[in-house]
Amino acid sequence: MLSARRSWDPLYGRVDLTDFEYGLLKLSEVQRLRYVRMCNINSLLVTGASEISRFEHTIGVLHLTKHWCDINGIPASVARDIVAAAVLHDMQTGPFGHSMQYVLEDNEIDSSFVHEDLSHGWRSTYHQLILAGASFAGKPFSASSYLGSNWESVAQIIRGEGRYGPLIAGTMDLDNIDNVVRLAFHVGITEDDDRSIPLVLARQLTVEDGELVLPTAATATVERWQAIRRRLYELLLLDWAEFSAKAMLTRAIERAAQHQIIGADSWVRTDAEFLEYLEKNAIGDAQDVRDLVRRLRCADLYEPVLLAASPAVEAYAKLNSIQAKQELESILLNRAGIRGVRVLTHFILDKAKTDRAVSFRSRENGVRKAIGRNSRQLLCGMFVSSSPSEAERRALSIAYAALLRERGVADLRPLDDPMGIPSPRQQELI
Amino acid sequence: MIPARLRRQLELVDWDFSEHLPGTSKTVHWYPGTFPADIPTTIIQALSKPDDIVFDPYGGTGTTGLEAIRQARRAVLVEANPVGCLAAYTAGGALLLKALRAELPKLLCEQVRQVVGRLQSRRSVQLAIDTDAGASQLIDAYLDQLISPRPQEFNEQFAWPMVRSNLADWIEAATLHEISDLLEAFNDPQVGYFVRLLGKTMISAILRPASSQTQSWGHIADNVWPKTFVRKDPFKLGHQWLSRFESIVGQTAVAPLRSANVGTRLWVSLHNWSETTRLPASDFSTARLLVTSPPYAGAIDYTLAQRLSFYAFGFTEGDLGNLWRLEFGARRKRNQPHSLEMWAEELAMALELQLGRMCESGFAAFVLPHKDEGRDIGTQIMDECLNSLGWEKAFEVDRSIRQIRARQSWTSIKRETIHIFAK
Repeated sequence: MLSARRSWDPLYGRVDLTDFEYGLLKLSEVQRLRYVRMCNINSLLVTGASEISRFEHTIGVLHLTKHWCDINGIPASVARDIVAAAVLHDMQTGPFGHSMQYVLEDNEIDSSFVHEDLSHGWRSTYHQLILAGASFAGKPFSASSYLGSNWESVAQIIRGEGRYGPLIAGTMDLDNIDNVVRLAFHVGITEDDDRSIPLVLARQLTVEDGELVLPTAATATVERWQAIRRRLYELLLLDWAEFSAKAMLTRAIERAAQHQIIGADSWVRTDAEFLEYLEKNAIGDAQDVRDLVRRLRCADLYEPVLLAASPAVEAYAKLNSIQAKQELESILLNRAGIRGVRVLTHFILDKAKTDRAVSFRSRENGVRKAIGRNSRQLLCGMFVSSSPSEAERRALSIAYAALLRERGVADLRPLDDPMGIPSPRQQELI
Repeated sequence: MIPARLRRQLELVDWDFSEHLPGTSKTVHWYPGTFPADIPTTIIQALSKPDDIVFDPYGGTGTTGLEAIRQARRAVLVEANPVGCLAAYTAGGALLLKALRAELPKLLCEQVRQVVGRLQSRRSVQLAIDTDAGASQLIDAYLDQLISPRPQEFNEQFAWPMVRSNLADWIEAATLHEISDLLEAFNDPQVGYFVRLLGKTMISAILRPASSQTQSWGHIADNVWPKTFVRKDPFKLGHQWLSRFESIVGQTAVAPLRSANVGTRLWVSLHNWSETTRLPASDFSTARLLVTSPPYAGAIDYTLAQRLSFYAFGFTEGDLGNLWRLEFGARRKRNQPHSLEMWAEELAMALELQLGRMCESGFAAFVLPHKDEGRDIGTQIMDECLNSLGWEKAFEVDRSIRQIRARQSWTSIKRETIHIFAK
C-alpha cells in the first residue's frame, strides 16, 4: 500500500500502526501537538531540547504501550483503550509545555484548569465557551466521537485511575520513560545502549494494585534511567539561559493573563500561534508583554544576577504569585538603589524535578524498593533587563538575598553551571 | 461590549469552517446563498443564553432559526420568500418535535411517507389517514403551542391551485401529472396540517430535480426552458428527499425541551421589509441577538430561482414579477441605474425597523460582502445606521466563501465579513 501506516522513530526505528491508531494520530487535537514542543521553553543553549514536538513523544508512548499490551496479553478491546490513552494523554497540553499551565494553576485565573482531566475539559468543551474554538487548523476536536462509548474509560486511564491508570500517569510510567530518554537522546547525553531503556522497561514492568512491579534485575536499568533523567533536568532547569527564558515567558504569560489577553481557553494555541498572538495583542498597557516576547524570540535574554537554591520549598506558594513577585521586584530595586532597569524574579519548585525517586515492588519477592531520592529545593532566579555593572550586581544580590530571608528563604546556595567548566582547550579558544 | 474571554475565543474561531461543527443543522430545501450553520451556531453560543430570542430578519430557509432552536433558544425568522419560509417552518417544526420527544420526527416522516406510498401504489389515501389521524393531530397539537403562526394558519399560504401551464414548460407531462396528484394529496383536509406542510416542502424541493432543466438553478432563474423533456419519478425523488430530511433531523443535535408548555419557540413570518406599515411577527417580545446575512446586491435572484415552486403553489408570472421587484438586491436589478445605492438604502431603512425589535442590551451580527467585493456601500450605510442608534462595533472578522461545491459562480463573491455590534 502506497500510504503505509508506519512511522520512523529516532529511538525505536520503525513503528507500525493499525488503522485505528493512525486515526487517533490524525485527530486534530493530536495533530496540534506537532506544533507544541515538549519543553517549557524554546531553549537557546540546550538546542537539542528546543524543538522536539509532543507529537514525536506521543508516537513513542504509543509504541511502548503497544509493546506492553502485547507482552502482558491484554485483550484487544482493552488494549485499544490503553493505546488511545497513550495517544491522547498530552492532548490538552498548552503552548510551551507546562509554562501556561503552571501560571494558570498557581494563580486564580479564569476557571480552574486541569491539564490531564479530559472529562473536565470535555464537559467545558475544552475550556472554550464556543464549540468552534475547540479545533485546530479548522478541524474540530473529535476524540470523543472517534472513541464513542469508550471515551470515559480512556479519560479515566489518562487521569491515572483504574487498573491501567498508573501505566500512563504514575511516577515512572510509559509516558515519562519515553519522555526522559527521548529528550536526553536529542540533547545528546545518552550512550548508544540507552536508546533501548524504554523498551526494556516497558517489557518488564507491570502494574498491580496501583503499584509498579519490576523484576529485581531491572534495578540497574532503573538506575541508569534516573541518572539520565537527573542529567537532563540539571541542564533544563539549571542552565542560566533556560532559567532566564522561563522567567521571561512566565512573566509574559502572567501579565497577559492579568490584562485578559489570555485565559484558560488560550491553551488551544500552538507555540508559534501563542507568541504571535501575544505580540500582536499586547499593546498599550500590556506592551511589556510584547517586549518580553520579542526579546525571547531573538535571544535578548534578561541577564542573570543570582541563581541559587534553598531548602525552603514551603515558601514557594507565597512567593510565586504574580502580585508577590511584582512586589518583591519593586522593593528590590528600591533597596538596591537602582533605576532604569527592569528586574525579574522567578521561582521553580524543584520537588522531584531534577531528581526523582522511583519505587517499585520486586516481582520475585514482593519487597518494595526505592531507588534514588526526590530532589527538594526551591530554585530562585533574579534577572535584569540589561547588563548590570559589578556594583549594581552586588547590590541587587545582597538585597535579593535579604528579601528572600525576610520571606523565609534562607541558606541560599549558588547553582553550579550544569554544563560544567570549560575544558583547557576550550579555555584557550575563549 | 463583549467580555475579554469571549472576544479571545471569537478570535480563535476559524470562521471559514472548512469542516462543519458536529451536530449542526443542514438545509432541507435547496436555496442559493445560504451561509453555513456553523456561523450562526457559533455566534448564538457566544452571545446568547438558553431561552433568549434570536432574530433573523432575512431568514432564508431558517439556518439561524434552526441553530437557535437546537440550542434551546427561541427564534424569530422573517423572510420575504414564501419558499424560504416554508422550508424554515417545517425544518424548525421538526426540530421542535425532536426537542419534545425524540421519536416524533420519525412519526412525522412516516405520515408523509404513507401518503406518498399509497398514492404511488394507487391505493386509497383514506385508509392511511384513518389509522394515522391520531398521530398527525398530536403533531399539530404540539406545534400549535410551539410555533407561530399555527400550522393551520401557515398552511393557508400554500393552499392555492398549481399553475400547471407554467410548470408544463419545465416538467415532462406524465411527471407533472404525478406531481399534481402529490400536491392534491397534501391538500387533502384529512391530512394533518403540519404533515401537509412537510409534504409541500418535499414537493417544492423535488421540483428542480423533477424538471427537465438539468443545468443550474441560475438557468431556472433566467427562464431558460429545457430543450428536451425527460420523464422523472417524483415518488422516488420524494422518498429520497424524505430519507434525507429524516437523516438531517436525526443527525442534528437538539437540546431537549423540558415540557410542551414552554410557549412559542419559533416565529416564522412572511414579510418584505419594504413594507413599513405592518410589522412582522408582532407577538414576540424583544430579541437578545440578531444574526443575519441580508441579500447581497446583484448576486442572486431568490424569487426567480424558485419559480417552479411558486408555480406549484399558485403564483402567476405577474405575482413573481411583483415579488422580485420588491426583492432587495435582486440580481436582475444589477444593471439598473444606482442599483447599489438603492440596495444599501433599502437595507438601512429595514435595519432601523429590525433594530426596533431588539432589547436594550443586545448583539447584532451581520454577514456582509467583504469591502473589496464591490458592495461596501451597503456595509457603510448599515454602520452609520447602527452607530446613530447607539450600536458599537464589537468584533469583525473576514472569512472565505467556500468554493469547493460552487460549480458556477453566479455571485463571484469569494469573501465576506462578519460584523458584530453591541448595544
